[in-house]
Amino acid sequence: MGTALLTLSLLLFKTGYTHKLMVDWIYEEGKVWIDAFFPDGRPARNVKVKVLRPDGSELRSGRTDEEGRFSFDPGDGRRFKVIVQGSMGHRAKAEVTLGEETRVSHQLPYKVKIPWREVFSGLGYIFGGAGIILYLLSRRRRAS
Amino acid sequence: MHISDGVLPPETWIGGYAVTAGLTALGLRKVKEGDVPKVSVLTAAFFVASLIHVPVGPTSVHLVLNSLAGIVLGWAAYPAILVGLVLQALLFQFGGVTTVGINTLNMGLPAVVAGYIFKLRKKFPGDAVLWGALAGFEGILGGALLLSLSLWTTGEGFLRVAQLAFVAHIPVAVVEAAITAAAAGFLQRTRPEVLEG
Repeated sequence: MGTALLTLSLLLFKTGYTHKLMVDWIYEEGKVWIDAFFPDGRPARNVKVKVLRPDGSELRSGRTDEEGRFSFDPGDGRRFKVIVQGSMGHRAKAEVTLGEETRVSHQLPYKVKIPWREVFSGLGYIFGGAGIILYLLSRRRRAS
Repeated sequence: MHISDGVLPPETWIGGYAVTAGLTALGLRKVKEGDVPKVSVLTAAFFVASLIHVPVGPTSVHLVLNSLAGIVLGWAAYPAILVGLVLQALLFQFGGVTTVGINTLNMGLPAVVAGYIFKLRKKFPGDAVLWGALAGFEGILGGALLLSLSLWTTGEGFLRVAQLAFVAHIPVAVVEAAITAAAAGFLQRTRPEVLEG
């Protein structure tokens, strides 16, 4: 019954990954624009951004603006690693390689589907694990 | 409330694993054979709760259900939350693998405290709904406090982080209080023996 209720509530309520911070980028007019957002479309405002060169040294750091954006001049560099860190322990990374944009501008609010396969595999692990524990306990009881 | 990998210094997340190992052992000792189905149902509830969003004003908050686990399971909620968080980290990429220990501490300890708060209904006036609401509220705000303490070790000013964490978690605490109260009231009416653990 518990599982049925849980499944029902997954169907009834809006679901998604709000605690996942996401990061996207685009190269425009000589600048790399970083876009930090939550999957429901809210921009991640005033979060720390760090831009690293391929050797791990820091090129620039700062914070996103009110729209969750941050820009930097790539100079002669073509490859960067961008790390975005929110105030509540959220963190996201992106690899930027100029000239290899495959990014299609994301449409906000970002569509998030329920990861059904993962939900059911997780429930399978939990109830399967409980079954194994109960089996072992009952075998031990019978043996004694 | 889920801290990601790479945010905390190693001392903090290793310490989190150490404390979680001890508290999990303590929690497992409280699980009797007959409790296993109950523990697994609440583990499942906790595991999927973070995908369920309740709209609050312009935003929406997700459920945590750590307090509900605490009032039904007591100390056994701790290992239940550990299992739920491991699966959330591996399957949904919520939080992180290195931070499972500290995240379990941050959500599991307030769950256990919620269990004790709920037990106060036997000594003080008020029914399961009232004490369930208080337990639900504490489960989240206690978690926000522990989250702030964890983030404090990254060198952030404690008061600033704590202020942000409390403001961000008040809507969650209100929703969680309502859900825990409703569940506690329902169980008290239909299956009171479930709440005696």
